[in-house]
Parts: sequence; C-alpha cells; structure tokens
Amino acid sequence: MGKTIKEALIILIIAAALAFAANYISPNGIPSVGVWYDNRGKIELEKPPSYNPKIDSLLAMEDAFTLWSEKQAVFIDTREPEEYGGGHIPGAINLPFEQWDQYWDRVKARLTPQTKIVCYCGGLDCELSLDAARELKVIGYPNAYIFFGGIKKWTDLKLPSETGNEK
Amino acid sequence: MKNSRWFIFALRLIIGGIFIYAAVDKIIHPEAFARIIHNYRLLPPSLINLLAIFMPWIEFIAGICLIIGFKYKGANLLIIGMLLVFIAALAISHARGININCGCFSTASSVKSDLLARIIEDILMAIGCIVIGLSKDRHRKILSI
Repeated sequence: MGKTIKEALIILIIAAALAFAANYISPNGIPSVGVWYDNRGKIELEKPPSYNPKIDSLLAMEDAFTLWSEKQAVFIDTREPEEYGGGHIPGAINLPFEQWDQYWDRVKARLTPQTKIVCYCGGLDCELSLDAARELKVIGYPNAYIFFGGIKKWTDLKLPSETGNEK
Repeated sequence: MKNSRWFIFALRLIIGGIFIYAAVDKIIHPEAFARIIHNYRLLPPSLINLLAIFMPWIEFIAGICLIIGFKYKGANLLIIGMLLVFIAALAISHARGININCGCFSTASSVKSDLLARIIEDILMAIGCIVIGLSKDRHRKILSI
C-alpha cells in the first residue's frame, strides 16, 4: 500500500507540473485565481416591491453573473452619473433613469433589438432598474432584464467593480 | 480464471481510455470547466481555477499510466479517489436538485446531464478499479513500460 501511495504522489507531481506548464503556454490558459463569487450558501433572490411577474424579467445572482462573465449581455447602470462613477459593474454603461433623454442616444448605439440587457441600480431600496427595464421593453427591447440585487449584492459578494465615468 | 489477466487488462484499457477522453476537452477549455466547477456550488472562489487547471491533467496522466502499466497501481488509486469525489459531488447536486452540466465529458454549456446515470457509471468504474487493485500483477506484462 505504501508503494501505491508513493506511485500516486509521483503521478500527482507529474500532472501538476504538466498542468501548470500547459496552462502557462496555452492561449486558453486561465489565471490561477479567477473572478468568482462564493456561491456555496443560499443566495436569496431579491424582488423589487413593485415587481410584476407578468411584465418584469428578474435575474437571480447566478444568471446575472453568467451573463456578465460570458459577456452575453449589455449591463446598464440606471443610477446617477456620480453614483456610477463611484463604482459600477465592469463594462456597464450609464443610463441614469432620471436623465433618460440626455443619455439615451449614446446607449442606443450599443444596442440592437435582440441584445440582452441587464438593468441594475443600487439594490434593495432602488427601483430605477425596474423602471428602466420596463421602459426598454416598451420601446422595442424585449430582452431587458432586472438584476435587482444591484451593485450592493455585487460588491457584497466581492466581485470586482470599476470606477470613473464614460467620456 | 485463465482469461483473467486479459479481463483485467481490458478493464484498464476501458477505464484509462474513459479518463483520457474525459480529460481532453477540459484541458482544451479550462475556463469553461472552471465555470462548471463554480456551478457545483461546492468550492470557495480561490480554489476553482486551480482545480480546473490541475484536475484534468491528473485524469489524463492517470489514464495513460493505467493503460500502459507505468505506476498503474498508483494511477488506479488516484482514479478511485477521483471517482469517489465525482460521485459525492454528483450526489450532492442531485440531492440539491441543481440542474447542471456535470462537466464529465464535455465543457459545452448546452449539455445538461443525467446525474443519476453519471453516478451509476462512476460507481461501476470504481468497482472496476477495485478489481484492478486487488488483482495479481500478471496482466501488467501485456502492455507495460
């Protein structure tokens, strides 16, 4: 048995050396620590007070994270520019719901009617994301979702954020 | 049994082959495999990429060793260990009712897995490995370095 364990250890060492060498060389290589959130516990799905399942498409944390990490959706931060500048989900664009007309043309250029759109705001006490997603659906963007956990849930789970405003 | 050494050799070939086959797609697509590991909801964030980088290579090397007879007892032990981990992870996911791609053979996200079938496969392979581990060494000479 001792010999078997020794053999197993040798194989482990060979595998480790090859694994890290291959990962270093490969164009598909990944960093040894990735961007993940801790999903071991139960993560609640927060619902906006005025949530209406008939018209609102609500995203759970894991779905929002998947859309973000696989770059399958455009994230829209519906808070004010100062709040957006203070920290937002990386890659998200700013569309302050209260200043819609001023910002809309710039946001529109990034969207097609098929684009998956994830609207979020401050989380919990903010319904701008819900209002924005509803508005987007009305004007022809059926794939507008609400990530109601918002920036609060995102940073609570220690996911990265980005600061500064768009030029 | 007269043919037992061929039987054991066939077991080594089948199980080793499955492990090599299962490892290749994960080695090519470590990011997709890391995502699958994350979806199991069992590991802290810091361990996910390390496992995605490391584990497919253990599968791959252990599979080769099992077939060619190089340190195959050690390889066999590692494969049993991995199978037990897989069985536990699959059983936990099944019990939790998580709908996941098990990441057993493919990292493609469109593949949803029948977890129970995978658990049974893994149990059968583990039994095969135990048979290999308990067998006499004669089958080793069929193909060995």
